[in-house]
Amino acid sequence: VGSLTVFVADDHPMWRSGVRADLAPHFQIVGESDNATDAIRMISETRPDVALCDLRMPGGGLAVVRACAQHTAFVMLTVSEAERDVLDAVAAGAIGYVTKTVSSAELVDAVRRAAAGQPVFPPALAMLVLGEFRRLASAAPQSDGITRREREVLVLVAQGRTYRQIGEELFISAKTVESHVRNILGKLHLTRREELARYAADHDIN
Amino acid sequence: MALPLGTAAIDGLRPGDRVLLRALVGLRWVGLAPIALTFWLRRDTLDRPILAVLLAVVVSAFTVWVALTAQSRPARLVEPPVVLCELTLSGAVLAADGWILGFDHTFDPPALGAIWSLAAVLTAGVAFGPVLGAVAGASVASFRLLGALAPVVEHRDPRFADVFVVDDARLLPALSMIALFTVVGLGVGYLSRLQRSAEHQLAEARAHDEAVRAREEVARTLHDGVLQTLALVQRQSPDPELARLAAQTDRDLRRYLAGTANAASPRLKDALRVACDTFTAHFGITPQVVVDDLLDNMSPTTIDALAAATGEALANIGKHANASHIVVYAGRTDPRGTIVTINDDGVGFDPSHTPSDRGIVKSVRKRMHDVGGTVDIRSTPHDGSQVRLWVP
Repeated sequence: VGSLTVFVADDHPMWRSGVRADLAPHFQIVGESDNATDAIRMISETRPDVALCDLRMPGGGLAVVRACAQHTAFVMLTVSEAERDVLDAVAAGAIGYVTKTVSSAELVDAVRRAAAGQPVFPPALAMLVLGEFRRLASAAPQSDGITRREREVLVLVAQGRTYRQIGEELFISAKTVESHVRNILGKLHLTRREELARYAADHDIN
Repeated sequence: MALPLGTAAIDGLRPGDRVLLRALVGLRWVGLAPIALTFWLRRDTLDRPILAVLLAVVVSAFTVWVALTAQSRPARLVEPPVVLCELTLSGAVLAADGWILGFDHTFDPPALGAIWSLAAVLTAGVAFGPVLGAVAGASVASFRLLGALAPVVEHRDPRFADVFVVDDARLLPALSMIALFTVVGLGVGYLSRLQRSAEHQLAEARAHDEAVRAREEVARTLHDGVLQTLALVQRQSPDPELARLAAQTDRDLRRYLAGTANAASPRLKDALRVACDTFTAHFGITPQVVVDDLLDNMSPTTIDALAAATGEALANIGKHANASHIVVYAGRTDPRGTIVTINDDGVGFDPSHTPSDRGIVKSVRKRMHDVGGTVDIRSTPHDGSQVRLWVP
């Protein structure tokens, strides 16, 4: 068993036990919960390296991300690819998502990558993020969008290419590609926060 | 708001029209007053008193009938026979001006039954629309001129006997009334149509919203339950046949939820999904389909060509690549054009040892060439492959 600690938040007991069976040989599972309130409390207490969090459990996975993304890497679990909720979770600080049809090996890999700070970024999410920046650019043209290079990276991720392959295509290192993706996530996080602040100011919400 | 629309469906009358028809009942009652008052004040000098009484009775009776019908069956008021009957009666009221009060009165403002007749023109506008509303207005107002044909009655007041001359000053009020009635018929008809189409759009939008909401509700329920279970079966079933079945059901459900059964406007996304489903049925791997929502308005020929070429590229991957992940992507290219890529993580091949005019590659090239597009195939041994289809 490795030293990485993992928390699992999902309201389906069968699913939790399946995930546990997959992860137990590789990680320390420090806790489980079936709702957002318990998850927030327990993640804050145990401070796991990675939290696997169902998007649609009672209380909402988004609330857990908002409360705990500062200190824990979040990988969202979802049954359907690329919902808007996923984008909201990523904008709130989640490092990526996996669909629930993911294989054991892929799930283990996703947790490892998330713990190392590497975005778990499926193609469908890249397309959603592209669309989001397009929306932001048309809503607020003066705001800082993504750079041309970042857009190139996103398109290649959306095409299903690995960071290494993208690096080869763009003549940069895989590490640089990865940092581009992290920057994109950071910008998404930031613009969302600015947008919320602006909305609150415009509508006089305290 | 849902209630009046619901009842509108029963009697075929829009809520706006019903409100207007009720208001017109009030206008008719008001319109009765000048008729009755004039007859009473000039009771001693009327040319044809019996006609006056008859007209007053008929107009009052009709007004009462309209008031009752507006309560019980408002839709009857806009039925063509009823409207024509009312228009004729209104015309008669205006013509009677000259026959009862004296033919010279034909050209004196205001007309005896102007207000009452206006109600009929307004109803015609609602019932028949702007053009026929205008015609009805002009016709009813023109009836007033018939009053000039009334023969002079012997016992009438000698003061008026020989002063009658038709000149501009006398003709103008009659003509302006015709113009007014025409404009009123036109305007009300137009406004009624406008309101009707607005109400129609509102009802349609509401029905659409409800359908979307119902579908979202179904989707949410299925996501929380059925799709979770199907995902679980796919991951954990020791029986590969059961897992395959779960994957198939999963796909069918998702396709239903996405509402792809839209044959009227074929979309690239749907066509690519169909190609991928066919592939999955044969090879058991589910490609991810990632399509830019901005892609729109492509010709069916181009969509067919891209989908068919994608299908062939996928089949090729299925036979030779031994891949575990496949992504089909469709997006825009700068400055114009659409690109579809089929990316796999299989064994790959050495492009220099694969003649570009052989077999599968050749037929894909042919398909794309037919729609003015290009094909580019890239691969490195042991590092997957990428097929890029581009169309202008």
